[in-house]
Amino acid sequence: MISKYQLFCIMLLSRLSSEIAFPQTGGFGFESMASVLVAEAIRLVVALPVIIYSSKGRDIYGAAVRKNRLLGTLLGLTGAFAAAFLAARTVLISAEFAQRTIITGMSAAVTAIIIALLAIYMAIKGAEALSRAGVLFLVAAGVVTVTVILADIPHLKLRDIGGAEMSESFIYQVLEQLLRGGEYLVFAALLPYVKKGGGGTALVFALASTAALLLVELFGMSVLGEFYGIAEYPFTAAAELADISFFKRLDGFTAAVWTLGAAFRAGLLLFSVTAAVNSVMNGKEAFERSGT
Amino acid sequence: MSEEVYTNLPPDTPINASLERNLKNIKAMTGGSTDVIVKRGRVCGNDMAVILCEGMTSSTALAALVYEKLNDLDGRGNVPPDVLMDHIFNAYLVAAEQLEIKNLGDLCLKMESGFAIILIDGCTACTGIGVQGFKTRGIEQPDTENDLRGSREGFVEVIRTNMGLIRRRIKSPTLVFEMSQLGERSNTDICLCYISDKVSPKLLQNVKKRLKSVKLNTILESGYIQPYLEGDGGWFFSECGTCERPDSFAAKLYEGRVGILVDGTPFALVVPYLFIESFQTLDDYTQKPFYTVFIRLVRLAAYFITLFLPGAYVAIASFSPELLPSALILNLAAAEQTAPFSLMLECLFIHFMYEILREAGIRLPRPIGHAIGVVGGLVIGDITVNAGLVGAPMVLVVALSGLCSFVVPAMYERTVILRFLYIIAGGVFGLFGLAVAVGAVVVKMCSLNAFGTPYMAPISPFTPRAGRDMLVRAGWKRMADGDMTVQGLNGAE
Repeated sequence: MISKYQLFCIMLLSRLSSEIAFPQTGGFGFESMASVLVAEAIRLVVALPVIIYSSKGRDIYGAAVRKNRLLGTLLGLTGAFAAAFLAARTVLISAEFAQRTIITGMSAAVTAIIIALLAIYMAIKGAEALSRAGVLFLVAAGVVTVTVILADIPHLKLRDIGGAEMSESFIYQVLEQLLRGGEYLVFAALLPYVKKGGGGTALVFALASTAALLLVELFGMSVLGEFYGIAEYPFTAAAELADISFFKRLDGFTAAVWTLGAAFRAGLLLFSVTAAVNSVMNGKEAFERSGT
Repeated sequence: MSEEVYTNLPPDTPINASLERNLKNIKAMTGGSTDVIVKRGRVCGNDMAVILCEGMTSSTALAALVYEKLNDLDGRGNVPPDVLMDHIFNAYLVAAEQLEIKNLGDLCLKMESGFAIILIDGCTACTGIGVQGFKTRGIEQPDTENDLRGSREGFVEVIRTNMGLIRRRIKSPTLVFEMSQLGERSNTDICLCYISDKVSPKLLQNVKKRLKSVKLNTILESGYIQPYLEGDGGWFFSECGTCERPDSFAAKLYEGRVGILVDGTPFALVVPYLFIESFQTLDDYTQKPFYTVFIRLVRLAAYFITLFLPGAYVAIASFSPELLPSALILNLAAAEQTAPFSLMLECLFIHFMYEILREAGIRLPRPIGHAIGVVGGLVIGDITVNAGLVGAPMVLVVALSGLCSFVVPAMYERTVILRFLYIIAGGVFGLFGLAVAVGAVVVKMCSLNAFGTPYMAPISPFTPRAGRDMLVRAGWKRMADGDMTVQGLNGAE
C-alpha cells in the first residue's frame, strides 16, 4: 500500500520533471506564470469529481464499471489511453531532452528506447516500488535543484516580469501546460493502492505543485532575464551558470537527475494504464480487494 | 569385507534387548569407523558397554561421571538390567545432559555429538550422558566486525557456546532457543533464536517454513542455508544478514528479528536484514551522538564514493568534460595523453587488477598477503602509470574507490558488481547511462520486501520514529523512550 505522503511525493516529482525536462513554451514573465496557473486550475476542475469521490471510495474506474458497465469501461479506457499517450509523449520528449543536454552523440531514438525500457521496468515493479523509489528520486532531484539555486545566487537579479501583455501564444502555452499534466490520471489509477487521505493529498498537491512550478519559473526568469524566453530548457540553462569550484557547471547533473525523473513519470503513467485497465476488467474483484 | 556399510543413519531402528546385536548394528551403521570406541564391562551381574566417539568427549568427565559411577554400582550384587538402567538414569544426577535413547539413529547422533552411551544387555533403551569435550577455538575478538568499544567476544564454532554468549546478554525468560538438525548427512545443529514478546509470529512462522525447505546433505557453514532465507531479490541484495558478535546479535533480537545459529561457524544469520543496517555498527551506540552523526555521514559519503566515483569519473571525463574546471580538464588531458585505451577500459582494467590483488591478499598467508598488497599497490600501480598504460588520476580514482569500499564491508560484494555496472553504463552512455542504471537499481531495491518489511525501510517508506536512529542517532535518554521493532516500521506487514 502507498501512504498519502508517498502519493504526494511521486505526483510532485512527476509534475516537476515534466516542467524541467520538457522544452520551454515560449512565454516570459506574467504570461508564462499565468499559463501555469490557468492550466493548473483547469486540471483541478476536471479532476474534482475524482478528488471528491476519493473521500468515499478508492477504485473510481471499478466503481464506474459497476454503476454502468458501458460508461465505466469507456471512462477507464479513456483514462488508460490518455495515460498511455502522456507516457509515450514523456518518453519522446525526455529522450530529446537527454539527447540535447547530456548525451549529444547518441541518437534520440536509442535514448528513447532506453528510457522506455526503464519506464517499463519501473511499471512492472508495481505501485509500492514506484512509490518508494519516487520519494528517493524526489530527494535526489531536490538536492541537485537546491544546489543549483544556491550556486546561482550571484546571478539572481530582480527583473520586471509584471508588465508583459498576453500574446497570441498564450492559448498554446496553456494547452502545452495541460499536456504536461497527467498526475490526476495517476491519482485516479493509484487510488486502490492508497491507504487513506487521497483526496486531501490531491488538493495539497495542486497547491504545492503550482507553487513549485511558479518558483522554478521565477528562478529561471531571475537568472536568465530576457534569455529565458529563448532558452529551450531554462532550468538547465540556469544550471550551466552554477559554479561550485569542484564543478564549473551543474547542467549535466541536473539533466541526468531530471531525465531520471521523466523516466519515472513515464513509468508511473504506464503503471496507471495497467491499473486502469485492470480496474475496468476486474471491477468487482478490485472492489472487494480494496474493501470499498 | 562383506559386511554391509550404511552411509546414512536409519532414523528409527529400535534398540534391541541383546547387547551383542546392538553392538553389531552400531558397527554396521558406522562402517566400523575407528573413532567409535566400545568399552565393554560387567556391572551388577549385567553385561554392558560404554560407547563413545574418540575426540568428541572429555576423558576427565568420562572418568568422573561415567566410569567412576558404574564402578561404585558394582558392589550391589546382581540387579535386573531394567532396574540397573532405571537407577542410572533416574537416581544418579550424573550430568546436565542425560538422555534416554530408544533407537539406533538417535544413539549414533548423540554419540557423534560427544555423548557417552551406556548400553546394558537386556534393556531396550540406553542412556546418553553429555561428556562433550572436543577441542574448540577459544572466544576471540571477531575479525569481520571490529569495534573500538564494547565486548571483545565473538561467536565461535560451537553452537552451545554461542547460545551461552547470547544468554549472558539477554537474561530474560522471553529469550527462546529452538534447536533442530538440518542436513541429511551432516545433521548440523541449527538454533533459532528470538525474543518471544518482540518477534512477529508471522515472521517466525515464515523462517521456520523456509528452514524446513532446506534439503541439503551437508551444512558446513551458515552460508549454505542463507539462500533459503532470501526472497526474490536474494540473488543480489541480501535480505538475510550475518553477524559475528553476540552483542550485535542480541541487539538485533531486541528489534524483533530472528537469529539463526549454525554449529561449526562463528557467523550467525539474522532476518530480516535491511539496507540501513550496513551503515550501523555497535560503536555508534557507545560513542557520543554528535560523533555518531559525523561518522555515519562519513560512511555514507564513502559508500557513494566507492559506488559512483569511478562511473561518474568515466562518464564526465568521456562525455561531459565541460562540467569540470578548465585547469582540471587540462591536467586530466595531460595525464591521459599517452594512455592507449579508452577511459572506460582503463577503469575496468585497473578495477579488475585491484580485485585480483585483493583476492590474492586474502587467500595467501597473512604476511605474504601484506606483501602482495604493497607490491600490487605501489609497484604495479607505479609501473603502469610510468609505462603510460593508464593515467595517474585513474589510479587515484580506483585507489580511493577501493579504500572507501572497506568502510561499509557488509555491502562489499554488491558494491563491487554495481561499480562495474556503473563504469560500463557511464562509459557507454555518459551521465545519462549512469542515471538510468542507478534508477533501475534503486527501483529494484525499493521493490524488495525482507520477510514483510521493506528492504529500504526506514528510509523509504520513511518512518519518522526510526529517524532518531538512522542518519542521526539520538542520545540514549531519548532512545529509551519506547523500543522500535522492525515490525513497527512503516510499510511492514
